[in-house]
Amino acid sequence: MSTHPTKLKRAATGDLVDAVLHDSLDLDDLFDAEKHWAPEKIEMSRELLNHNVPRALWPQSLHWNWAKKAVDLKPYAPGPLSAHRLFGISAEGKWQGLLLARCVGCQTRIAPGGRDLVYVEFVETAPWNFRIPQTGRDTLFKGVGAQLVELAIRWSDELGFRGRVGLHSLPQSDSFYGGHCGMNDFGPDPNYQNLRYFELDESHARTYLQET
Amino acid sequence: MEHKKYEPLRVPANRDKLIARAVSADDDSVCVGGLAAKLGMLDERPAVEVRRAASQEAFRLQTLARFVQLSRREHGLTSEQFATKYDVDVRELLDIEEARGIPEPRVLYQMSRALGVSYDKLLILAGHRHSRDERLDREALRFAASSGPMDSLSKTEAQALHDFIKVLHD
Repeated sequence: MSTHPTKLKRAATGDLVDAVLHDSLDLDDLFDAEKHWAPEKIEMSRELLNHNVPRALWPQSLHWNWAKKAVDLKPYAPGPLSAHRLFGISAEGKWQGLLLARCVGCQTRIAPGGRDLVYVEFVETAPWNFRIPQTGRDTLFKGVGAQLVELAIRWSDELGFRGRVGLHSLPQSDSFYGGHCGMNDFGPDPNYQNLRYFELDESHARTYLQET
Repeated sequence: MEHKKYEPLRVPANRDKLIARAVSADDDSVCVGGLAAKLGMLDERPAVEVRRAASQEAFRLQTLARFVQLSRREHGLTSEQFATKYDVDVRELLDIEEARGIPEPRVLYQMSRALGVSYDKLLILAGHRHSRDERLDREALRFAASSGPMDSLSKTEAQALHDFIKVLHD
């Protein structure tokens, strides 16, 4: 596994804290993260219930349980001969977010022509990085999502895909991908339960990576 | 952890500007759910809503199927001839005409060029985009209601139908 030092911002104080970018993780890391995130998710559910927060405002990934889907996940497992790669970011000894991406079988929708891209299968952040104003819960760290996306863009670039990346965002994250990341919004995709499909084009990817 | 087949990503040592931009992002929610959708981890809608959505999807696909089939027949071409002439995969053409699943945008793009119609509107019909076009919705309904097959059955078809009806009566 290779790692790269980075920083995250502690939302409460504005301080930058040391963090680590990881590439080539495996499913054990995903389950490890889930094991640590689960108690926090239960606590968050309790807070949401106690504050009578409408179900529509709950974090849309709160009920995800990858361990329950362990058998279904096998075809998506990163490893030798796999088209999948799992990236992560950790700080203070805990996983802060993970991103699973695939490099085979996905082509750009921007202009039909068969150009490949890296497809992001999922992004999930640690529950303590959700902000829920209704319960007074604030994000612990900021900068997780953008840096995970950066790794997917870098992988796409190294594969010769010029940074092209596609993904299906959860509705609560649409503004992040359409806004901060500057991805093209292709609207709801009926093949993915009407999640909106976003795609980063080459020029935006170039801008993204040149900011170093 | 062992290293996988991939070379480590090349990440520059100095990413200060990128980090500054990342930590200033409004990233309260960044979750991506393509895989969760495929594995059925997403849908928590009541069953009645799921059924309604499925029914709307089926109607749109039937309308698209009928439109493509009538257009092809108006050209006087068999499916194979149409596929060859317009460089469309014949299996994908048959899938559209039989309303078997949602055609990919790439296929719809080819069909829009072959039939000389709007790619955007085919995307709407296939359900890739949500329609805010009331006229398109209205006309799609009218088209679906008035374009059902009215041809008389051929002798062979009539015989086959009657034979099958007999079997169903047994």
